[in-house]
Amino acid sequence: MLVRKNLIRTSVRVLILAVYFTGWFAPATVFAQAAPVVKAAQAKPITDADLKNVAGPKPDDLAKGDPGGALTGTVNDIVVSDSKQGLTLPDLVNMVGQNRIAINFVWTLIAGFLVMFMQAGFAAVETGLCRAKNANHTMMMNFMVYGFGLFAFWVMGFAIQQGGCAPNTNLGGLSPLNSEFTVNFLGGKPWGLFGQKGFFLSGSSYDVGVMVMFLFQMVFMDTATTIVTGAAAERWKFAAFAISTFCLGAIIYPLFGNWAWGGGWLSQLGANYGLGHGYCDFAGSGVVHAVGGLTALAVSMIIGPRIGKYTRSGKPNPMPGHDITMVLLGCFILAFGWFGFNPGSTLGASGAGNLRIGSIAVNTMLAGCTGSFGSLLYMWIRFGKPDASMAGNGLLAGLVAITAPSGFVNTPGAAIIGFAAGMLVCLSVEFVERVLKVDDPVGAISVHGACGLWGVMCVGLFADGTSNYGGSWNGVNGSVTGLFYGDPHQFVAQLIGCATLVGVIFTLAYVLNWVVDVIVGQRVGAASELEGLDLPEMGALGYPEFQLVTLGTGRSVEIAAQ
Amino acid sequence: MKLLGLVIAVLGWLLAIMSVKLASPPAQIICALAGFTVALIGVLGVLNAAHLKDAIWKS
Repeated sequence: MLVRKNLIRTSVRVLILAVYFTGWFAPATVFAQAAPVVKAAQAKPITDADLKNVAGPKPDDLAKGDPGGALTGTVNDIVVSDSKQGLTLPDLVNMVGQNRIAINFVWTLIAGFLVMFMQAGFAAVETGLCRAKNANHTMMMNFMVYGFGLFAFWVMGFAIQQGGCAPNTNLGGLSPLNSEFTVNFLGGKPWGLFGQKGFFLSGSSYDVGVMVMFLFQMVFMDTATTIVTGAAAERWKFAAFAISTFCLGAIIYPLFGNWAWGGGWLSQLGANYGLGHGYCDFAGSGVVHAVGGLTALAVSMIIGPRIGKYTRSGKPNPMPGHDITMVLLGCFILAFGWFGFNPGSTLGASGAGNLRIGSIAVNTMLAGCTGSFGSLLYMWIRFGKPDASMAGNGLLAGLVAITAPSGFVNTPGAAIIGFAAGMLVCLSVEFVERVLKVDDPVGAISVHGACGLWGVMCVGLFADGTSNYGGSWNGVNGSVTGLFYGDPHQFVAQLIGCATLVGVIFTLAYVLNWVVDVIVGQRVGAASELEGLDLPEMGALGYPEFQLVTLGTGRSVEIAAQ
Repeated sequence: MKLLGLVIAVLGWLLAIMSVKLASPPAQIICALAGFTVALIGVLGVLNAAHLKDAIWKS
């Protein structure tokens, strides 16, 4: 007891000192550095004649090789439209424009590839946290969520979400995506509800920029769908999972995605009603994680807890996962993929304030780190041991929470957001399990739902007003600024976003999954559940060479198979 | 009861968006917070309580 008290005291002192030295309480102006005064040089217009005088390296020199790199990437490499005429000013200008877009395409695509790899992380985390008798089933849900979700998004999800998102200067304009369905509401202001261009990526949306946008948005949507498989694991019928995933990828996720990112009504709260810059969600604490977490809550409520999770008096029984090494490895994969998630959400690395990608990456790293600190500290103080699975969940909680504010906050803000999320996820897991009595084998509702909502609010609290992505955000000039830095309106917009997530998106997810439950049934039979879902649902065991004794029946899975 | 929970959740959202019609920021924050809280009560309080009534572990 004495050791625990000392630990608490020491922790509090360290926290106070850290907060003091980071200058959190100091007014924002203390950190404001004077912009360096740059004297504008007398610019001389460039002419075609000037360009003719620019000489590139000679062929003889190039033939000798270029170990230092000084001869590669010169005027010789600029594409000219007319070889007889040589390099002209329009050639040069077009090359500059194409280079910018090429940098942004490559940046966004590579970030998208990183986010795609997060599917592997989710698969490892969720399978590791489930019992061995369900390993094949849980892994297969995580595997197939990629295909089901992608197909739904290609058919209609992308069009609903991004069909009216033009213009986007980072990706070449995205001009084909120019049709948003709007209604006039609340004071006669236009409320964008869903996009109408880009179904099947056909017609005018067969466009290089649209393809980049589709890939990036698709892997984000898949992240949301894979959250649900964790919360509903060990008792979800595979057919119901397939239909539910399609609904999430085709309707639920794209709707909120449109309202926040596709030019919909939430993003226009600033332009229409003066609420800061409207709802701001840089990389998706709300759009991706809260949507996934709240859908997970809806499905978990409908299918109910696993057999044996609660006693008849309602006391929860622990059901530990079968492979903690897989869980922590999955967390690392997710943390790696998050560098695509957050910095990639600039949708470019060149121009329009996109050089902030370094700051976004550091914020991401910091919040994940302090998130694991927060949960580690909580578990150590509360239960006397630094729990490994909750440390992993703390890392994810910090990353989820920083996802929305990552592009708008400074490093002390990111550290505090992550640390609080680490604490919050522990409190929320206990609340969901003991008070709500909703069974969530992997803690997805808490990690993604609770911490996603926290992240959305943090934009309205911690945004420091220094970001400048091309001079405006959501059609409102200036930088996104939160309550702690002087703009209370931004916090209102974020709260409206949270209320929309709980009041509208949860309700929609609940109704659609209730319909699925009525039509095909969401839950497997009791016998299948007790034996493990690998054989009854998938027809093969995850670990066929091991004898797995299933709790509750006292029988082995192999015997049950015979 | 389940339907009531969903209706309360949607009403919470409506209350939150009504904050755009208010003038002062503190009133807007209170109204939006109240809407968010009502939506949470609808989901976590009313709807979940209806599910717990016929929970599998009670049978």
